[in-house]
Amino acid sequence: MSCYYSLISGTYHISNDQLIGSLFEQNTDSQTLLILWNFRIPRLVVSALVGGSLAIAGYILQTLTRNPIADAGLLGINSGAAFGSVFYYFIVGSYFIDGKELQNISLIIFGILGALSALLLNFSLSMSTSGISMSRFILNGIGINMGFSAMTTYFSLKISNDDYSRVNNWLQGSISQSNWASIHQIFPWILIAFILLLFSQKHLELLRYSDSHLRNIGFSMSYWRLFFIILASILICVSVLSAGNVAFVGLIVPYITLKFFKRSSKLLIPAIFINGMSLVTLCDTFVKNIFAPNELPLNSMIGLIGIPYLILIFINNSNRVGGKKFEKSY
Amino acid sequence: MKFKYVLWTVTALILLIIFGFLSLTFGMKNSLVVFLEVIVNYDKTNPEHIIFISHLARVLVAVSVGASLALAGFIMQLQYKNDLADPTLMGVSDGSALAIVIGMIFMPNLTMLGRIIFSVIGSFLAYIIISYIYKIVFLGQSRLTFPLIGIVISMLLSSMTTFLVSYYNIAQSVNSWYNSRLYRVSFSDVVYFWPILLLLIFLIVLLRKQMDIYSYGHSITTSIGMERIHWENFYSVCVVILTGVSVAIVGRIAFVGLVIPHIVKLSIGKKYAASVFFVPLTGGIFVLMSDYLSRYINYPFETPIGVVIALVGVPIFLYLIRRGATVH
Repeated sequence: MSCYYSLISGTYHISNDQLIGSLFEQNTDSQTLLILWNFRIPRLVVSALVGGSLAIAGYILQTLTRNPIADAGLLGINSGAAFGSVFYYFIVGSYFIDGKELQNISLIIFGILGALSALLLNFSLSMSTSGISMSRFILNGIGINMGFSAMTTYFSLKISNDDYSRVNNWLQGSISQSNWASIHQIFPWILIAFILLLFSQKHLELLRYSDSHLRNIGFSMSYWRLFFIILASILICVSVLSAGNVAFVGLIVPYITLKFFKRSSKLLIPAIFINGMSLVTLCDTFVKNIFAPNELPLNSMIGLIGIPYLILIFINNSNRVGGKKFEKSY
Repeated sequence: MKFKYVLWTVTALILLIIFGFLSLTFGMKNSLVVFLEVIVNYDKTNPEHIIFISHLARVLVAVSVGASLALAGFIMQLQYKNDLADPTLMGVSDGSALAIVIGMIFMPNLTMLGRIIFSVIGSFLAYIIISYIYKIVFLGQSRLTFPLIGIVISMLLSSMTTFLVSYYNIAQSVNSWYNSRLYRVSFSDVVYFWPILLLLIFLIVLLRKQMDIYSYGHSITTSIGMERIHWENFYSVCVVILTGVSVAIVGRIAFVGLVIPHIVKLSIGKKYAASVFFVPLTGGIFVLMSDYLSRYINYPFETPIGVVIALVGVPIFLYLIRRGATVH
């Protein structure tokens, strides 16, 4: 439903029959066609894909860390991915002018490495003798977020001008620049990740149980954890490259979806994906249209919804989120 | 006087002089000559002298911002007994920013004094929110929860700010001020800054012994008759004013209030009475050095000062989280 609405609205209003007409390739205005195909639909597709992948990545992270407020943006993985990409440009520069495919793939690999390093840094820092304290994990994530953002800014000042304009597009966090080319870049990755995820859904469910249980049944936790972390990083990295720093999607969507679906349902992951898609598409439509022709940054919109929501979860689940120690304040 | 106090003061003064001099004469040739010339024979039409004076304003503001933010962080850590309390991290400066943006929307030609007033109101409101949350939600939680909630509040406030900025289309003027405009301050800003700062520092230094007593916690101090509520109000007012003025003049600089009190505590010791002298001093020098570095690293371009401070601040922040947030 939100797809339909976002297609129609926007600065240039296309009426109903024109939409259907151009879908079925009848005689239409060439301008309508141009706007529809070159701007609206790619943007729609990108926002849907980004929304879905971020939602799923959030779900993976929440399962892995057994904490309901683990989310990509909060934990600094977004900044890690951004940093990886900027670092790539810094090191390699505009080396490959012809080999575009290779360049894209290596860009994504660097982004994944950046995201992974952020996550691993966080894990290693929050390990203590009594296990991983969750609030420490999240605070570390925020610190790492700031650190990587600062380094990203620093390196983005050092790269050449062309690269900088390319980088700046997605650093600012906007999907208004999407086009078919960018979709071609990211779609294979998302497809692969999604298929892998569908096949390994059961393993993800198993990881929710505590470590001692899993060891008893002989489940090789570390390998699967690593696998899912890499999967989540791929999804996040791809989203960051298309849409920049979009926070909180992975936080809200799994939670709401879980209220409707049981955890072990086979429909859970597709449902999360679809819900993520609709949320981001809706928000995108909203920010595009409400103050036309001004366009609000996507971040702030999702932030406005997400943060009071985060506070609510936090207050409700505070004992699970905050950590193991119970101390009186006086 | 203990030896380490003397050592620390002397080091601080030396660093102050060195970096002050470097900053003042940044990019000039024959720096020593110009320096002497300005002191002896100030000539309004000589461009080098003018640059010198503007650098002077920048140096003074940098030192003041460092001092006030460090002091604000110091007091917040005392008041909430939490190692990770910091005015910027926990939303007080974001409240300031939001208030300033609202002020800019309705009164486009807001003077600096007006900005300061708005900013203080904003930080006051943000501080009330944080104190309220401290009392309500905090009971029975792990010590690390409080900074987390503060960070969430800060994100909420900055989202609201971004929203308003985009909606009212004042992004350019806000951005030029928000992300630390140390390079655009003038002497009049310094005039606004200094009286308040000096007054507050004077008051805090005067009342430093009470800080130690306050830190003993609720039960002990009330049983000896200390009126905690008065002190809480006093500390809140200090933090609010210090942060409000800093944000209005310079924008948002993170991590200073978090990191400096800890560095000072590490070397001076945990008594608040002793370290209250050194916190502003160290804070000022830290920001001064960062400012100089931010001009030096990427010469001739200026790195945003937030980047430089984050390079130092983030590892220390991570280390502090690892240690846990109880006040050791």
